Amino acid sequence: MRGLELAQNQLDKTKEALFEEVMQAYLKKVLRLVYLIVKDRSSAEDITQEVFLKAYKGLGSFREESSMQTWIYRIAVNEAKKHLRSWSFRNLFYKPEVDAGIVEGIESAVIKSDHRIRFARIVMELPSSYRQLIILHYYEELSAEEVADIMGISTGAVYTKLHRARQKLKEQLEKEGAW
Amino acid sequence: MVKLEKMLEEFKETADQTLLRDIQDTTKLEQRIRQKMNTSRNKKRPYLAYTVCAAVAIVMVFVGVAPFFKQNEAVGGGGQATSVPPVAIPSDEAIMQRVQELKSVLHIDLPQDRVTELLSTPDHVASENGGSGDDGADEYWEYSLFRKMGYVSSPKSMIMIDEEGLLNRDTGISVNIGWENKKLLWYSLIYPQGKELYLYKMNSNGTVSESKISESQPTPSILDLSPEEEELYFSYLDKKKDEILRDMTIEQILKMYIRAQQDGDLEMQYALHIQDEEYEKPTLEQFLSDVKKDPIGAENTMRHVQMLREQTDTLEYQWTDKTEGIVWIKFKDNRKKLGYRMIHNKKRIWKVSWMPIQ
Repeated sequence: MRGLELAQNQLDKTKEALFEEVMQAYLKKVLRLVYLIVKDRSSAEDITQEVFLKAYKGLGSFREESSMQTWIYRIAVNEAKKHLRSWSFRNLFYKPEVDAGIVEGIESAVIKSDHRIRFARIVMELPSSYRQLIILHYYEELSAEEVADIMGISTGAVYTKLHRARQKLKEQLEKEGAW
Repeated sequence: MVKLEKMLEEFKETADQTLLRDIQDTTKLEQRIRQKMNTSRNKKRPYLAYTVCAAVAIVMVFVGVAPFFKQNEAVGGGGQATSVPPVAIPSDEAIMQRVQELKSVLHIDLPQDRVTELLSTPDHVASENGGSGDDGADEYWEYSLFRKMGYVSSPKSMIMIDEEGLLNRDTGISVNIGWENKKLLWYSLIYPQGKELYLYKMNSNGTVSESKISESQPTPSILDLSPEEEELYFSYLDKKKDEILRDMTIEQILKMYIRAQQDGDLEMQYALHIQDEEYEKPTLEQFLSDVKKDPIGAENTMRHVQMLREQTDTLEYQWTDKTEGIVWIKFKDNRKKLGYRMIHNKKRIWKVSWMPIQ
């Protein structure tokens, strides 16, 4: 029995060490990704916690068929989508300003370029399915194939939706006279 | 388009410097995750858990800890005789606290043995022979909590409410549970507060309702549907054909949606939401399953609808785009106005946005 416990501890240690590496490499990235999708810091932290707990549980079954980043981002996007379907999100009611820390305190931000700030706000106001694609492709700088893998859709669908998302952005920029 | 591409290329830098500039330190989050991870790992190791349980058990023997829910069965209810001495009539606060505790632990699909652990054996049981079964239940249980020692309720049938006993505080809470295949299908709580009796019910689809028993009709509200609107509501409920909504205004559609929430009609709510690939709308099955698993959400919806019905003063419509509009709800008590985002579908019929902000 003691031998078994010892072996289990060794395995746990290996798993723990691997998990530590994963957390060091991806925690901030996942938190930022989730935040850009759900637009709320506190929810983003809760979701990120869930993502890493799932990752810890699933580490043993990770087969390296995709990269670690793709694997963990897929969990993150799925968890964020689950949140978008939940009561608390569906019942956040419309407010004219985006609650994304983008408007307030912007004067002190390093960036002073007004049109870029407006553009970031417009991205955050995109419908969530378009916003997710823009974030994964342009913020995370992932290829269409990687985005497709994470979102569980075809590469063709990624291109089509990216095209529509860009159209939507263009319309909004024109509407706001931001060109 | 060139400029758009440039802005997109710069988006990473822009987002890092604006949207994400406060997300730098993740130390606390890391600690939280490690803590959770350790808890979950310890759960997997029974030999460790046994050691801890044994230690806790020894402490319990000395301090006389009773199970969470059973320990307050002070006046003899709950079907099991206990050695706890009788206490005074429960206060409204004590009853309300127990109601909240029950709401936090009872949920759809909870197994019978778990309920027995929490509440002991029921006072009354009726099997499908005794119960009507019209609601899908094959067994019914009833508990009387805070019941005075020796008190026997006057109605002998489970379908009758012991109003007198509850109002006199001879018994504090009447818990009724409907079962299907030994899993909780629905439950209701009847309890007094002051001189009123309240009925709280979690329905089998996961929605909840709460009302005063003496209140046969809800208080009129500006959100009530007119008889003509109600006719269209039921027609749409029956057929789910968008053409039925063709001539309805944006405010009327919103009123129908709030009515569907009030009635706990999830399929109607789902049908009134926009169906469009832009929005993260789940399938109907996912939606129904999500609601069942979210009792807090159901409670929030109920409270929200109650507030809307009581406090709505005016509805004002504002176009925001060629296919979008906002219905602003202004309140009697001057709280901050609330906006529902509405969208014209491809047939030019108003629908409620799946997620009001996206």
